[in-house]
Amino acid sequence: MSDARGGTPMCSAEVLTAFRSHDNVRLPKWHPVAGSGDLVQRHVFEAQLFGQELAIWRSNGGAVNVWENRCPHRSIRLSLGANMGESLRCAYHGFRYKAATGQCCDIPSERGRRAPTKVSVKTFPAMERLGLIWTTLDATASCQLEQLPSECPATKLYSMPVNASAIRVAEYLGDYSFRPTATLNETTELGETNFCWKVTNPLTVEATASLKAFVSRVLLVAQPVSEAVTVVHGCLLEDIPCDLRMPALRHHCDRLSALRAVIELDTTA
Amino acid sequence: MAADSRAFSEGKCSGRVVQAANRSLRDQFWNRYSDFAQRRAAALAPAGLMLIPGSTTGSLQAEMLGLESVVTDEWHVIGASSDFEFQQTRPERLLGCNLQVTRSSPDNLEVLYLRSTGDVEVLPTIQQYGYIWTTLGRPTHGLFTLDEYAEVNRRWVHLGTFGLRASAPRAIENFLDLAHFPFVHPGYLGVEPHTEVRNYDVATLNGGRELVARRCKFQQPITPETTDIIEIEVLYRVPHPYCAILYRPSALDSSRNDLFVAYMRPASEQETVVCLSHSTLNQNDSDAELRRYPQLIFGQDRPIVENHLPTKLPLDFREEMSVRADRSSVMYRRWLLERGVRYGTMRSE
Repeated sequence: MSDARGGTPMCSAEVLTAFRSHDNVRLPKWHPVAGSGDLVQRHVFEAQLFGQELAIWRSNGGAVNVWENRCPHRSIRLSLGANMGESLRCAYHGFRYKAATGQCCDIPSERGRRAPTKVSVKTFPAMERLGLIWTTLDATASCQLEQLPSECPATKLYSMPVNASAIRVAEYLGDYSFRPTATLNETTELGETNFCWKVTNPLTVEATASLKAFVSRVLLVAQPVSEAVTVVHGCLLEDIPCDLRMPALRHHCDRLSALRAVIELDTTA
Repeated sequence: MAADSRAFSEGKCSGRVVQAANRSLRDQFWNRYSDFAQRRAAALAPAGLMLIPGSTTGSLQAEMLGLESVVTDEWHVIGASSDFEFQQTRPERLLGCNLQVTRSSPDNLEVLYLRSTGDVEVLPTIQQYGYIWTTLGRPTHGLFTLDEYAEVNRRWVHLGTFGLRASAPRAIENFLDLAHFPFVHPGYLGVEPHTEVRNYDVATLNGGRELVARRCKFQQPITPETTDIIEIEVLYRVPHPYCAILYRPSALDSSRNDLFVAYMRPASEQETVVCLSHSTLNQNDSDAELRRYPQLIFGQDRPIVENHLPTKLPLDFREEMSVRADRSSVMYRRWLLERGVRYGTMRSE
């Protein structure tokens, strides 16, 4: 039109289409959008998936709610609201929406007049696996997380935001290098380590590092936040002794930071 | 309060007489303005730029910007003249266009429109109600009336000029809204459990030129410290797509009103500049004292108004669910639709 109008941010459908046309890749249906530890008691966590803003919160019983981050009344971000334990209260007019269903259960300005209408917040399915919260925007998706390692001990790594598209980030994850956890307190050279990468889907990589008898496995998943922003979630698939927990988290944080620097440098170049 | 309601319901200032008077005033204005523009042209033009002496007609301007003429041919507030330092120049925006504003004399501002083509146009300005107004097009009418401005022993205080990362119509709806008081301004404008909004009347007046919400009653705490409640009754008036006025009975004389006025300038569709003005019969408190409370209230509203998703106001009634307390919001949206105002709203394509 003209320079007088600001551009509208892309909605999730457009971002999804852009992704699909990208490389003609078959994207997984389920994506990690938060760490289990991000959902602190009575907190509302904000995340984005394919440009779709999400308000994620845990109710008193421990169940996870992944909702569209928008009050259906006047479109205020629900992440500004209050987690009341069994319901979420919008910050603007105090409208309350029930956990699980997202159905409106209180309209304060109408109190004493009539029961709330059939209005409800748009909800998305949620699953908690490997220390991560997973969701899907696809209503037809089955309740199966694709090609995830079966239940095993997992230590969630620090998540790393990267300014590049998820497809591009995942390409780089395909040669993520690190040291087996058990060797972190020794002074072994990184070069002697053997790596093996298994790309389970276009956004997921399982990397294995082995050095002598020590083997560590890391699962890395790229969360497409928007077309140009990605969050890399990862977890170490092993039991870690207490004294190695912090060194391991720090080591992977360093490795992922280095990877981010390379990706962002290549992307802007 | 009651006097005001009556004046509005009787349609005191509607009718053709006013329109005819406006037209002759308008012609006089434009004749005088084109002389003025020619004279200013040489003095103001930045070196090497071509200057257009305001010859563009309103509809042409609207077409060039891709905007509706009902918005370009409207007066928009630039600011209080005290917002601009004498002889200093500042960039400002209006409807996504770049302006250059200079305070050329103690009570006037010079407004240049810097086109994307590199041309510069001198925009007309008027001073009214203590603020400077400009337009990109050719207004077919003057600014709305504010009779209280002529009243004696009434005091006007400029409460401040604020930038908002929000669309102007969203900010107007927030100004008109009662139901959010106990949640956004707890202890000040409302308090739980007194959350009910009783029915109030909303009507268009003055040939559809303005919107009025009458008999808006709400239970408010007397002070933040106590739980004592008092019922207030106020009147809201929307005489301009981006301006709204709150009439509240004065504590000193119940037959007269205190006014809170929000003059909003859409800098772009998602950014707004708000000039807040207050009128009171209170002659004792200092300006600073009068500013403290409304600035606090504005600060509480800001994070709400800036967090709409989407930022722009939907005019399609299926987009957002409305309840009875939203009558003024619903009527405002309908009024914008009928007037053809689209700037700051979502068009359903």
